Amino acid sequence: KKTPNSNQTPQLSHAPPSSNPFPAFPRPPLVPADLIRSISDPEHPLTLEQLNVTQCEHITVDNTVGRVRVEFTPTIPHCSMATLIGLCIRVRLLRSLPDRFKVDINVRQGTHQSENAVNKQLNDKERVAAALENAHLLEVVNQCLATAGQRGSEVTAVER
Amino acid sequence: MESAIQRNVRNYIVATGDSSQEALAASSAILETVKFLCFGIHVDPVHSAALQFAPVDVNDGNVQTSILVLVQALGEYLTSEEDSVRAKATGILSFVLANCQQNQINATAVNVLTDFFRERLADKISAPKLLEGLLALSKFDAFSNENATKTAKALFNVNVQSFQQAVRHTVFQTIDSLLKQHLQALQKLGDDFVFGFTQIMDGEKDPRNLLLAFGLIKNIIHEFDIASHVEDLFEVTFCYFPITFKPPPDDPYGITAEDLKFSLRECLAATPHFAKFAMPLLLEKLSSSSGSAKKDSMETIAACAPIYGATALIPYLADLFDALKIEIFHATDPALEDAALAAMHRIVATLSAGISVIAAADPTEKALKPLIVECMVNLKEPEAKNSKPAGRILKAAASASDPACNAIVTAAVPILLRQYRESNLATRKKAIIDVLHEFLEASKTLYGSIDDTNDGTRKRKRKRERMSLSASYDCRVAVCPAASDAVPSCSLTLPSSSFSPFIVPPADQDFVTPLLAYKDRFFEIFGTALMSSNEYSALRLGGLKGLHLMAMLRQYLAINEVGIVVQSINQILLDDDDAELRTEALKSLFMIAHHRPAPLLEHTVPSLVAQLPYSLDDPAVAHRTYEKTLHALGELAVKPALFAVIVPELLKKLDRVSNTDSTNTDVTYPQAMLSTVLTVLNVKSAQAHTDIGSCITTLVPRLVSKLVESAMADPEGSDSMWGDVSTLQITASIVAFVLRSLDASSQKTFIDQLFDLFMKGNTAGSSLGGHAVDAPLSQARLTLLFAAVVGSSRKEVILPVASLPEFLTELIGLALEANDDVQREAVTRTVGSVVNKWQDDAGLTTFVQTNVITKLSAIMTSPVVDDLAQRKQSAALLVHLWITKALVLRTHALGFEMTDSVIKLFGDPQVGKKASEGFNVIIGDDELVLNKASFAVIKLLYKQRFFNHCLPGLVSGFKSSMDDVKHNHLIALSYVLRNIPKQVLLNELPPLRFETQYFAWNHNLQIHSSNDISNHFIFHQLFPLLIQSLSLPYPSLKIATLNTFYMATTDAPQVVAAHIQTLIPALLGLSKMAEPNTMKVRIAALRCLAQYPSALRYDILHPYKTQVLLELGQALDDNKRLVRRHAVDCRARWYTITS
Repeated sequence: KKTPNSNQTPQLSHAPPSSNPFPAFPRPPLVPADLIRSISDPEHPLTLEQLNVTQCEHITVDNTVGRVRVEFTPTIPHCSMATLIGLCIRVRLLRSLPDRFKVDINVRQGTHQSENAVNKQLNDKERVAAALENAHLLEVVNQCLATAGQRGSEVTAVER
Repeated sequence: MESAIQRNVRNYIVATGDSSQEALAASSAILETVKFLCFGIHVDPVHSAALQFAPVDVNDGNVQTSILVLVQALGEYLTSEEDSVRAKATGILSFVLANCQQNQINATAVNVLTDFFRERLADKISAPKLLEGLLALSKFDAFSNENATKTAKALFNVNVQSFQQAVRHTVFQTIDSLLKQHLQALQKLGDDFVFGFTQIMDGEKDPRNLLLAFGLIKNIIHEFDIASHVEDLFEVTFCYFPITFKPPPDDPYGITAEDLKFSLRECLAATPHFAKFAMPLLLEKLSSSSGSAKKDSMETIAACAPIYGATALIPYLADLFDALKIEIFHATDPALEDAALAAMHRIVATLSAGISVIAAADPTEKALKPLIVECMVNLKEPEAKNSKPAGRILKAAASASDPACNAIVTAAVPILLRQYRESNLATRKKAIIDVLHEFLEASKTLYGSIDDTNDGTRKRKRKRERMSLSASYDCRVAVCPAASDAVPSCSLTLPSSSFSPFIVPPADQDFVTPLLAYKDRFFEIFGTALMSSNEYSALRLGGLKGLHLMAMLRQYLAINEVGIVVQSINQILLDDDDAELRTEALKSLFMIAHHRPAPLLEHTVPSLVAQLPYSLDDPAVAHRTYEKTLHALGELAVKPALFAVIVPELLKKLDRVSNTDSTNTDVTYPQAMLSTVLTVLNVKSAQAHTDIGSCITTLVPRLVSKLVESAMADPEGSDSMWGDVSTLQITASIVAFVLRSLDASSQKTFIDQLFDLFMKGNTAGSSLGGHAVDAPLSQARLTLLFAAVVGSSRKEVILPVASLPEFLTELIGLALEANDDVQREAVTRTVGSVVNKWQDDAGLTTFVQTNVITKLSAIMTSPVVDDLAQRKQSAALLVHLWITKALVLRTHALGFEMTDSVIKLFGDPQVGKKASEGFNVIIGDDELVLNKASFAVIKLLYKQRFFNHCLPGLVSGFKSSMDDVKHNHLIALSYVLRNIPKQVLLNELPPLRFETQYFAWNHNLQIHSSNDISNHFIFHQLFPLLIQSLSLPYPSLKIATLNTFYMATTDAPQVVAAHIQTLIPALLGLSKMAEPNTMKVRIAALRCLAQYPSALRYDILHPYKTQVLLELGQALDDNKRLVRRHAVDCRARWYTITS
C-alpha cells in the first residue's frame, strides 16, 4: 500500500472553483510596470525605461480597490512630448488592464514646467477620448505602443 | 581545303557585325575547318578510320598550316583600310586562336602572331580584338619569355582606362596569365613593370576588374622589387579604401563588398613598405562617422599590424590606442567593439614580436603603460560602467604576448587584489572578480588551456601563424628580427613567396603565466566568494567561474589543487539549493571531468553517493532531497569515465536500499535511482556514445536477475520495490536502450538467452511462467521485459522460434486471454513488433489475412453479454490496433484495410469510443517499441499516406453517423492531426500532387489553380469538423486543434477567412475562464486570435473588432498570469486594426 499524497504529481491543469469563476479580491498582483516599460519614446529610438521616463518605484498598484497610479519623469522640464508620452501610457493601460482599475497618470512632481496643465489633460476622460478620435494622433500613439509587447526583453538582450 | 577556309572567311566578313547569325555560323565553320585539321577527324566516315589511325603524322603540321591558311585567307582584310573589316578579321583570328589546339603551334608562328598583335595595339578600333588574341597567345606553350616582356611593354603603352569594362578585364587577365607563366622574365622588367601596372589600374572602377587587379597587386608586391614605386602602388590601391560598394539587387556576378574588402586588405597588408603611407590614413579613417568604414579600418589595422612591424607602428601607437579605446569604452555596436579589441590584440602582439628578444620587454611595456594607467583609473570603481570595457582591453592586450601579459599582470593584479581586500561591498567584489576572470581568460589564450597536451601545441600554432606572416618579408625588410632570431636559417633559405611551415623551437614551454605568483590569493578570493553565505548569487557565481578558469589553465594547478577546486564545487552540489549555481557547478565539474576525471572520481562521486539515503526510513526520502543529488550524478555520469563508476555505485545503493528493512512502502526513491540510469542512457545514446553496449554484461544481467528472482520468490508481486509496475517499466526501458546499442550478433545471443528463460523456463531448474495465462501475477508482468527486448531487436536478428506464425498465434491467444493489463499490453506490443519486422511479405500477408483479421473482427463485433466478453472485446481491439500500427508503419496495404475496419467500429456505441482513441496507438509514437530507435520498419511519408487514406473516411463517417457516435470521428481526427507533420496538412503527397498536375495538364487547366484547390480542399473539408471538435471535453485534443488553426492562419489565410464567422465566437468562448477551459486551452485560443490582425485583411476582421475587444477584456482579468499576458498582447494587436 502506498502512503497517500507522497508521490502524486501536482496537477498541472487549471481548475478554477466551479461555483464562482470570479473569486473575491485580492487577485494575484498585476504588473503595470511591465506593461509600459517598453513603450517607445516618440522622439528617440529608445524605450521609456531606457530613458528613465518610467521607473518601477514610481508606479503603485492597489489591487483591492482597483487603482493604479503612474508617475513619469519627462527627460527635460520643458519637454514638449510630455503629454503625448502620458497619453501613450494611458492608452496602453486602458487597453491592458481590466475595467475595474482606475488609472491616474501624473508627471512626477517638479519635473516639468507646465506640470498641472499636463496632469489635468491626462486625467480628463473626455479630452483623452477626444484625442483618440484624431486619426493622426492615434497613429502616433499606436506606433509608440508597437514595442510595448517586448516587456523589457530588449534591455536584457543588450546586456551581454 | 583552302577554298573552304577562304569561302568561310568571305562569308564571315560579308556578314553583318560579328554576332549576327550568319557571322556566327561562318566563324564556327572556320573553327570547325581548323579543328578538323587539328584533330584529323574527317566528316567522311570512310576516311575517318584511316585518319584516326595516324593522327600524329598529320597533326603536327596541320594546325600550323591551317592557321597559316587562315591568315593568308584573312590577309587583305587584316590590313584593310576599313576599320570595321579590320577589327572583324582580327576578331575571327583571335577567336580561332583562343579555341584551337594551342600546344601544336610552333615558336616561329607564335612569335609572328604575337608581334603582329602587339604592334597593332595602337589601332584603337581593333584593340579589343587584338587584346583577346594576346590573351589567347599568352597561354600558348610556345609563347616565349621574350614574347611576354614585349607584350607587357606593349600593354603598358595602351591607354587601358579608355576602353570599356570587358576590354579592361581582358587586359587584367592577360597580365595575370603572363605573371603566372613568365614571372621570371617579367621580373627583369623591374620598375617598368610595376609602374606600368599602376598606370593600367589607375582609375579602375568596376568591381569585377578590381577583384582581379587587387589579386595582381598582391602578387606584384610579393614578386617584384617595388621599392622605387611604393607610393604609386600605394596610391592606386589605397584610393579604394574604405570600400563602399553595394552590389545591385540582381547582381549576376555575386561579388560582395566583403570580397572586395578582403582582397584590398590583403594588398594593403602585403608589404611593410606601405606602413608609412597607410598608418596615418588608416588612423584618420578610424575617426570616420560611418560604422562600416570604422570597422573596415580596424580590421585592416589588425591585418596589417604584424606585417608592418613594431618599428612602423610605434610612432602612431598613442593615437591608435586612443582611437581604439574610444570604440571600446563608448561602444555602440558589439561588432565594432570586437573589431577594436582584435586590432588592439594584434598591435600588442606585433610590438613584442618585432623587437629582438633581449629587449623585447621594453617597447611593449613602454607602449602599454599609458593604456594600463587609463584602464586602472577606470578600474578604481569596479562597479562603474567603464570597468567592464577596461577589463576587456586588458584582456585583449594581455593575451597578445608574454611581455605584455607580464607587464599588465604585474601592474594590475596587485592593485585589484588590494581593492578586493579593502572592500566590503558584494557588488564591488563581484566586479573585481569579473576583471580577474579576464586575466585568467587571457592567460588561457596565451599559455594554453588544460585541454592542450602538455607540449603547448596551441601556443605553437599561434606563434607559427604570426611568424610565417612576418618572416616571408624579411628577405627585403628586416623589421622582424625576433622571427629571424628564433629561426636563424630561415631568412637565408626562404623562397620569397612561401608561407612554409616553420619549425618552432620548443622554447615557449618555458613561458609560464605570470598569474602563477597569485595562485594562492586567487584560491582564497574565489573560494571565499563561492562559499560566502551572501544571498548575492552573482558573487558566488563569479567565484565559481574563477575556480573553474584556474582549473582550466595549462600547467597552472597541480592535480591535488584541481582536487581542491573540485571539492569546493562539490560543496555547492552537496549543500546548496540555488538552481543557477548548481547548474553552473555541474557544468564546470563536467568540463573538468573531461580533462581530469581523477579528482571527480576521488571526491565528487563518493560524496554524492554517500549523500543518498540508504534506507527508506531516512527523512531525506520523505523530503525528496535526494532528487538534486541524483540529478547531479545523472548529469556527470554522461562522461564515459564517470559512467563506469557512477552506475555501479547507484546499483549498489539500490541493493542496499531494497535490502534494508523498512516500514516505508513508497518506492519513488528507488525508482528515481533507476530513472536516473535511464536518463543517462538516453542522453548517451542521443550523443552516440559507444560504452552503452558494455552494460549488457554488467547492468542488464544484474537488473534482470533481480527482477526474475523477485518474481519467483514473490508470485503475487507484493514486494513494493521490484513488484511495482513502474519499476518494471523503467527497467524494461533501460534494457531496451542497452540492447539497441548492440550489433546483431550480440543481440541474437541475448535474445536467445531470454527466450530460454521465458519460453522454456530455464532459470536454474525452476520455470518462469511469464507466457502462461495462469502465471502468477508478478511473473506474468515480466512479459514487459520480453516485449522491450524483442521490440528492440534489429531486423536481421532471427528469433529462436520454430515458426513465426505459430509464435504469433500463441502470443495473440495469450493477449486475448490474459487477465492482467500490463501483461496484455506487453504481449500486444511484442506482436506488433514481430509483425512489423517480419521480412517475408507474402508470409505476412497470408498470416494476417487468414489468422488475424477474421478472428479478431469476429470477437470485436460479437455482442457483449458479460464482463468477460467485454474484456475479450477490448483485448481483440488492442491486438487489432497494434497489428494495424505495425503494418501502417511499413505502408502495407493490409494496414490501411485494417484502419478502415477500425473506422467502421466508430459507429458501435459500445466499442466505438475505444476504437477512436485507438487512433492514438496507430499514428502516435510509442517510446518502447515500433519506433526508429528500435529498428522498426518505417517507410518514408507513412504518416502522409495514412492521413490521405483515412481522411475521406473520417469526414464522410462524421457526416453520415448518428449523433451519439459522431464525436468518435472527431476524436480520431484530432489524434491524427496531433501526430502528422504540418506540411502534410498543407501539401498533399508528392505523387498525388504529380497526379493532379498531370490531370491539370491533360485538361488544359492552370496548374496553379489546381494546386490551390488541392491544398485548400482538405482544409475546407476539415474546418467545420475541427470547429465542432472544440466542443469535445478533451483539453489536449482541443489544444492540438487550436494549434492547427494557429498554423492555418499563416499558411492558409483564405480558408480561415472563409470560416471566420464561426471561428471567432468559438475562440472567444475558449479564451474565457470557465469550467472546461484549462489554462493551456485559454492560451492557445488567445494565441490564435492574436494572429488574425496581422494575417487577415481589414475588411474581414472589422465586423468583429468591437466584440473581440470587449470580450477580451474578461481575459485581462484571468486568474493566471500567463493568460493575462497573452490577453494583453492579443488585445493590443486587435486595437491596431485600422483601414
